[in-house]
Amino acid sequence: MSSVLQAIDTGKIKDLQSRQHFDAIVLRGEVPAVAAGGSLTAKFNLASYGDFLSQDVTGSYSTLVDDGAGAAVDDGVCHLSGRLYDGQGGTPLFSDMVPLNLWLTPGRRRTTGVLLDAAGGVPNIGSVLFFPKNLVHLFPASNDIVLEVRNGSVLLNSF
Amino acid sequence: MSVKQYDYSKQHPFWVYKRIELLTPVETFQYRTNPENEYLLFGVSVAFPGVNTALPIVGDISDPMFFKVIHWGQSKPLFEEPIRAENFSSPGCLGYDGNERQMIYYHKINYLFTYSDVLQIEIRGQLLGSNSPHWADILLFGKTFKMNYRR
Repeated sequence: MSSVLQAIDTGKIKDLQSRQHFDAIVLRGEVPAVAAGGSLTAKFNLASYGDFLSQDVTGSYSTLVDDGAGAAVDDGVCHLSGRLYDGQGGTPLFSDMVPLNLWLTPGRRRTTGVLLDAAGGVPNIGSVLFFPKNLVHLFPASNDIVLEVRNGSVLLNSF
Repeated sequence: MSVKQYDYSKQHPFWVYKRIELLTPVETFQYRTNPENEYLLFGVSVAFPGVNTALPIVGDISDPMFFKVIHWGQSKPLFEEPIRAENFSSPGCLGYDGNERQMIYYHKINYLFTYSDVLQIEIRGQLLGSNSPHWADILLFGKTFKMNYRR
């Protein structure tokens, strides 16, 4: 045991610890309806933070759409898709815009006006399991974390 | 003797997305890795509407789709037999509610594709007509990186 303690340089560890900490970075926004452009770019500037080692990604979004008669309904279907970049105009981490329901949990955020199912009942919104998706990447302090989001709905949706 | 060393400064996650529509009984999607990079495929996530001949998006899996992942060029299937979509990966069948299965737990593969290798996803299913199109959203979770060869 004593040899292990001797091998651990507490001074170095403390120094390292004092210069890093856990943090959660939030990107959020309201994506306009298709008719209003249907896209939004959310950014987080790391300059005042320092380098950021992302380990997981998680998120939620609304699922609003028009019922055809002008009323907003929550149909439970994901209408948003997104693409992450390391820096504005920098390295894309996805090949394309990816529907948010393929990579974000807990995912759907239930809102008012939930659309009834075919039998007239409120649909089961399922197991809202929080399962962060691994996304291990070091974002340098000189870059922004950029999330480009598109909305395929005729109504505004948020994430 | 050459020794491979990972250049960690050149690596980053790279997720590949494709919606495949089943317009013929067998449809394929190919992803060719960058000629200068290698691609470590962690796994595959799949979502599909679940359709039958009557209605689209009803969460019905009685007309199944089957999946196969192949290291193309080597004709090397990463699993022996095609796997039914609902047994393959999540979120799986979207159903009426669109998000009934919100758990996203990809099918783990952990396979390394090297320079210019081609990964092929093959989908088989019954054609159901324009009212009930079969499609599948495929998301490949992986990482691209560069190797240095040193002697």
